[in-house]
Amino acid sequence: MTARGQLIACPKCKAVLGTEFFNQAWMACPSCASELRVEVYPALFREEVSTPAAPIMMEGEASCFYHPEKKAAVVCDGCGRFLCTLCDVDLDGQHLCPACLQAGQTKGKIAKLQNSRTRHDRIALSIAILPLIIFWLTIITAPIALYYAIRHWNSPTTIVPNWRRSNMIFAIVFASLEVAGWIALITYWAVS
Amino acid sequence: MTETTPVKYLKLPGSGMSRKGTWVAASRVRTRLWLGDDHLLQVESTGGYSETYKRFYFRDIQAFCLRRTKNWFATNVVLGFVTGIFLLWTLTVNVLPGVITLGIITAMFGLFVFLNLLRGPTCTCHLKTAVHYEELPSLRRLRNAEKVMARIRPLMESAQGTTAAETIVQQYSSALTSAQVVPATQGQATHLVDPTLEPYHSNAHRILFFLLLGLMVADALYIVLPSVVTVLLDMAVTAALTIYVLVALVKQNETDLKVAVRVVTWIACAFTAVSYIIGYVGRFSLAANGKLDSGEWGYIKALAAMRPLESSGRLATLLIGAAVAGILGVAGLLFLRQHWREKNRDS
Repeated sequence: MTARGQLIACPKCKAVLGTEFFNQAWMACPSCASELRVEVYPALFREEVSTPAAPIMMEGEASCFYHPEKKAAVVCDGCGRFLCTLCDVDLDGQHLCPACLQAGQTKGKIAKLQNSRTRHDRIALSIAILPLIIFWLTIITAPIALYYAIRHWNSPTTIVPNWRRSNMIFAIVFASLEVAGWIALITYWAVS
Repeated sequence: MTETTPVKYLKLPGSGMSRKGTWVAASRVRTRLWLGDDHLLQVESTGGYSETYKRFYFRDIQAFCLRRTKNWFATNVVLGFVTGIFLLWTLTVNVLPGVITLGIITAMFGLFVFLNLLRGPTCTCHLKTAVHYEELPSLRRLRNAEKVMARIRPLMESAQGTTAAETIVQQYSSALTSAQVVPATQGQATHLVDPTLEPYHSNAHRILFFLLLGLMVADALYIVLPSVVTVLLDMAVTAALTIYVLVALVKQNETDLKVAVRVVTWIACAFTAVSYIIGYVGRFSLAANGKLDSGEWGYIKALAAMRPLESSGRLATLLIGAAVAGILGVAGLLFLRQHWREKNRDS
């Protein structure tokens, strides 16, 4: 990190602040007079430790799968390939190669690499409930909501605690009631 | 590869709207903070149907910067003023349906004031890591921000340890020396540029604020000299204002334009919307009373035939409209001038 990157600035006027602001009570910014409180942690001054260069392989030693000229240091916990220190990615105590890391992210197997999720439960609930505003639309949307809720019952959804199952259950119940209502209505019209 | 165990998250207090995304979607990105075992998770929910996650690991967080804002006070003043106006209006009306309608509106605004008072003072909270310097939109209330800070402080210390104050001073001073920067003092400051925002280059806001002043003049002319010409002038200015409100909202998106100018622009947008609603209500009431010929020209003639000075309700509406337009126009131009001054000073 460059020295400029270590500087702390006022969030409003971006004036560079001095140390008198750090871990103190509220103080006014000398430039814009905004009241500020700054908490600084040791990470601000931490020197980034770069990965040491992988040693050159000697005869009779195992080599890295991706860099045949480098000496293998660890085995990938995903695919079992030998990896040099450059290719080794340490994630929660697991040693992974870049390919396994990418696969883990794509398939959603590594929770800490998940950057986005779709809320299928809310989509199902919305498809079930919102069309009630224009009632006749539910003849089309209720089966869709039912299908969507069942189809995505086990799909990965939000990673934070939520009402996921309840939303899905509500969606299925609402959609089922709408379907049942339409069947009853159509039967009534047919009979009468 | 074994599947990693899901992290248990605890909800932290506060939620807020993030300004990210397109300018239309901006108001719909809801942000909330969750506490993980070794990180903070910021969940940005777009429309409630998709979520994006940002993780700030305790070992990487370098600083938090809290700044008190005046939004709480300003909101209380504005909402209190509006409540007062509606309360006075309610007291002057003699018709029961009018009293009930205005009473409900007054109570609604009063409730907003009360809720805002309960939620407490406002602030912004910025988090700095080696690669981020960004606001946490869920921590815009001081009480929530302080609660969260108190909650994570021990976790931060256990992740990073503690550093003596003298060491911090020494290391920061050497960083300042290396960057050849002097910390801000009264009347002298070095300003860093926010890399995430584009510099604002447009005349849309200036035109918008002059149009608001133009609307004030057009309204005043219509009050004094109601005629087809003044009605047409008023309509033309309103139409131009509508266009420029939209243009300004698009232009200010993701730029470094001063927050106060953005806020005035949004208020101008709300003001324009309310003007249209009042206009439509007036048009319907004219039609209901049989004073309106068919077509747009009939409406213009009906407006020209009205004498605002002879109708207290219409006069009050026009005066309030002209006053709000004038205040917004002047405030917008002043804030815009302040923005350009700050930009020039920085450059």
